Amino acid sequence: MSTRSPARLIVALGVAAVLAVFLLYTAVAGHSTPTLTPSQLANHSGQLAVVGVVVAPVHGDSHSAAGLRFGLKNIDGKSGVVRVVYHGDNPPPLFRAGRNVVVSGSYLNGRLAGNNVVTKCPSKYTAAKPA
Amino acid sequence: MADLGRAALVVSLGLLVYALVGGSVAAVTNRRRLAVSARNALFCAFGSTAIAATVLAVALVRHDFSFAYVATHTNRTLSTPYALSAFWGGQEGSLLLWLLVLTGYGALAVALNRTLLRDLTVWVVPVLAGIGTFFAFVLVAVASPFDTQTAPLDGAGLTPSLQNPYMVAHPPMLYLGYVGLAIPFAFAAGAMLSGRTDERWIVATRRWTLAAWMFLGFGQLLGAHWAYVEVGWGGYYAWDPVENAALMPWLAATAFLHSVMIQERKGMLKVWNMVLVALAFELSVFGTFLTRSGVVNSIHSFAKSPIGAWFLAFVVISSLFSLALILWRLPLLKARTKLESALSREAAFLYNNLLLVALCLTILWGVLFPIITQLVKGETRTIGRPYYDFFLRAFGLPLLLLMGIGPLIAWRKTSFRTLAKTLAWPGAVTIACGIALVAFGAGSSHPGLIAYTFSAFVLSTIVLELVRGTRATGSLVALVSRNRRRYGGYVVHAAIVLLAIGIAGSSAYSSSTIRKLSPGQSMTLSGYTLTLQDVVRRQVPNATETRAILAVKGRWNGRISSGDNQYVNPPEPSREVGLKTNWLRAEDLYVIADSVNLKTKTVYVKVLVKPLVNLIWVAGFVFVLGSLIALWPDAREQRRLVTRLAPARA
Amino acid sequence: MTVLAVVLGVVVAAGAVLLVAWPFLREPVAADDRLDAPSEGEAHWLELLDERDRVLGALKELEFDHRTGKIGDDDYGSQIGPLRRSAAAALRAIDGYRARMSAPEIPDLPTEPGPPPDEGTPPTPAPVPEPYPPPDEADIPAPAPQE
Repeated sequence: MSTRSPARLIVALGVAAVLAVFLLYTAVAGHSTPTLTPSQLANHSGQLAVVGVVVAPVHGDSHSAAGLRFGLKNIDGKSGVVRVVYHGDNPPPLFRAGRNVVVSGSYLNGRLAGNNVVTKCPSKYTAAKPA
Repeated sequence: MADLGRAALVVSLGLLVYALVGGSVAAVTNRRRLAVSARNALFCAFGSTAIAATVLAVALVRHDFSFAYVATHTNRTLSTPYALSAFWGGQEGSLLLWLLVLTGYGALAVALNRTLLRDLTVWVVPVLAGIGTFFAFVLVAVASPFDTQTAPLDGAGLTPSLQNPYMVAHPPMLYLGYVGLAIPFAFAAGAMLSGRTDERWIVATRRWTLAAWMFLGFGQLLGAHWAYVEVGWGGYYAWDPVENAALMPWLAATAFLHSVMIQERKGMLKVWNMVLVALAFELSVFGTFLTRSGVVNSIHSFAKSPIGAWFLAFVVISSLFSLALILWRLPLLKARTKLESALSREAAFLYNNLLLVALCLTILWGVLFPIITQLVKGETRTIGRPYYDFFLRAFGLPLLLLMGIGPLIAWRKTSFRTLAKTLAWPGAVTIACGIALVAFGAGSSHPGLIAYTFSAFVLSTIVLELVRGTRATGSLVALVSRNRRRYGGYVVHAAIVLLAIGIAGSSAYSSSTIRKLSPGQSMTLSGYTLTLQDVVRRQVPNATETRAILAVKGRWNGRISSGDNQYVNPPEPSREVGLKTNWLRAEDLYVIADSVNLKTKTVYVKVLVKPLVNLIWVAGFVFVLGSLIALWPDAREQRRLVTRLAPARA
Repeated sequence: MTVLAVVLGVVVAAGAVLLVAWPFLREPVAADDRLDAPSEGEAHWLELLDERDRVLGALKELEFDHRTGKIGDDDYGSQIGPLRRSAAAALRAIDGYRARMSAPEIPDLPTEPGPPPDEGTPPTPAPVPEPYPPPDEADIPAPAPQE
């Protein structure tokens, strides 16, 4: 019977294997997306996500060539309005002016070409507007 | 009555502080009466918390809008079950539920073990009281459910999408799970504080851990099902931080549940078990922090709240406490025996630990990544779905395979030859299944095919175990009843297999298409032809319903409707999907109708066909069944426990 | 605030104070206020029982694994001997300890069982442990025939 326990070797090899998988992924396929507010967009371009509140007017159709058009502002209101043209699946039913959203897409020359919209569930943990 | 609730919470806080301080002094200075007094304080804290909870529940049912909490989360049109569910629908109420379950669980666990494990429970009381003190403090000083106001005529109401039976059950199930993990944590801390690091704390808390793990798992499936039928994007899990917040402690608890078997049988993996139980508990509180602080972006958008800082401080302090304890007691946590072979059941459990913890930490990294990038680079970067999907496959598929191999390996060591002989039949079944699956077209997705074949392997090993065990003992009933833990575990493994098949089928092999339809126009997907017949709108109490009616022909013949509801109070919309389960084909036809134009009667229709998705929900019931079998009391085991532990009670 | 709420609040608080103070009210002066923890002898007894249960459990698992084909005859043969010896040693250790515990010259071990322990009463001397009930016969499978 071996007097040396292979437990440490197994743990070390296991950790090494996990790290290897992790490094492989991040090296080959891993990418993260900047998630910014409208006020942070100034020096950015390319694929990113923008968190903000929808600003009226909201018009158009996400399936049409012209897309669904609306504005985005910082949730705290302290920013200019970024124009968004969204093409893709219909936004969730909660989407409307005044709702907090995350729009993913490509940002160039002050305009966000969105391809995905996520609206946040009405917050359970803040006071809703009274009836 | 709000004053009564407030006073009851203050009394709870006082009692818990006493139990913490008095209990600690009693344990350190070895004082019996003070220890009993501290224990009684914990029991009384449950009583006073229950009174506070009753006050809030009564206020909710009576629509007492002088309670700001009641006015914010309910209105007069809300039925009683949903009004009651608002108890855990808001910040303050859910914290009160946390405290109620914690003090209730704590009182019960201490009461049940106060005689047999007197030397441990004297330390468990102050640990539980410490956790309770934090929650009671937050309720008294930061987020009270008993703030009052001039009562408005009506309340704000509950978001329509939350008025769903699954959403009623989902939070309390999760809390029973999250909070339940505090019990084994407290006993582990008690074991280390008292220096009694033998297996008694594990034996005493095994069922608590299993019950918490069962509730947490089932609660997550309830949430997933709600997302599938109510939110209506066609999916059930989005790797959202709040969803991950429940998955991570469940993974850590899964590793812990398996790993403790090794400590009980072999006296090994003691440090692992202490780390795992602390990790499970800390992740459950960390998840609560994530959910409430607003520190990460989530579709479950809970606004930034001052409570986040308190929770973060608690997580940091309790984590440092756990780490310090483990480091201090390392000498007492040395293994009694050594791992003899890399091909043994002990080693299989070790691999299991590594894979589960790796998956858990991978998810944690993904959740924390935006916070870390913000701190380090000043810019938030988010990791998307592909990251999580990759690592789920990278660690989840080997875990699935291990689920099949592990039970077939003997303790201490197995030779390759014996293992190969044991795996021959399941291996043959697996290869045959693989060939059949490729022939039926499952080769279109390699991860899906691997998941299916591994699942076939695990199921065949479970069958093999049952057959061989029945042959050895003569009766299946006797086999299961003599070792409920093992065979209940196999039923749970079968549930995980069903889950894996359901997830693989509904993600790797689903199909979808989207078209704009006018009445009379059709679209086809995977053997279903849908023709738009009409678009209708009607008024119902408190809502306007808009529906697109479609006729379906092909794999199923019938009508299906989808659209949205616009509610009056509260003024919120909700998506109403059309869902038809084709049991014969084991798939769902999922229809989302949107952008309805009543003038032109045009509508955008997205259709998805999701194979095997219902296995995910079936898996939930099998999971609970297996857990209950494993949980079921065993009279012989109880007799042994009492007799073995009896000297400690004298 | 209603009168009922005030009365309820006072009753609850008073009840809590009473329950918390009860151990001190019941025994204003305690003859022995020490916590009732296992003595060294009892802790050692527990260790012996733990070791016996572990070894008997391992024996049972080995027999079952062999009967169900998880472990081959060679591995079974190499493991059963040492395990049986360990089981015998564990049982001998328990018998030896029991015999020593019955000897009157060991002062820290009681010779008579005390009254059953109760809440709030002083700790009683540990009774001589009852013999562990033998495992069910059905649990100890007959050794598999050696080929």
